[in-house]
Amino acid sequence: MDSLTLIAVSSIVIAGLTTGFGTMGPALSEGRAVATALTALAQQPDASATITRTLFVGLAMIESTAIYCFVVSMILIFANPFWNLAIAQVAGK
Amino acid sequence: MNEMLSPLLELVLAGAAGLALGAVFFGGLWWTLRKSLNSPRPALWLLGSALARMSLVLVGLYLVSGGQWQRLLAGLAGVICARFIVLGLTGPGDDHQTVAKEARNAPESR
Repeated sequence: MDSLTLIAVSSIVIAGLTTGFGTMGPALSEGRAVATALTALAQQPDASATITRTLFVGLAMIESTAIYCFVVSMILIFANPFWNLAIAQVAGK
Repeated sequence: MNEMLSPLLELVLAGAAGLALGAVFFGGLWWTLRKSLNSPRPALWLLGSALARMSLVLVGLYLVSGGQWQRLLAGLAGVICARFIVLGLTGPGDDHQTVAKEARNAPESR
């Protein structure tokens, strides 16, 4: 297996793993956060403004994590610097 | 982007696009939360909104990047900045400050 194939294979595999793990964590934590918030809302309807606001801060942090992982996957697939470097070296030969 | 731009300007434009995407993303999250928690079907709202917002941001970042990882990272930085801006705009959750402000006002004589 030459270096180009190795770079391509590893990039694709790691991008898939990144997306997989990077959505698993946020999905679980988002579910827990929303479930807890709904429970709290059912118990304390008066505090709905505070609960909604806190839930929003938490969900924003959680979903940012998913976006980070998506961006890493997109870099690996669409704009891989190592791949571009290897292509340039092959073309230079 | 057909016209030739300087690399720095390209990064700044990518960051601005990321800001807009992030504003839509987190603004949509805030809107969805306020709408869904009082609705009979919160799961449907949250799931649909998450899918729609995430696809919008990812397609937007893909278009912004144009195959360059630097522009992709600049767009991501814009999204992160937009998160803090939206968090600041939605205001502090505790009502102490508003209560304190209103307490300083002269009481209306009705």
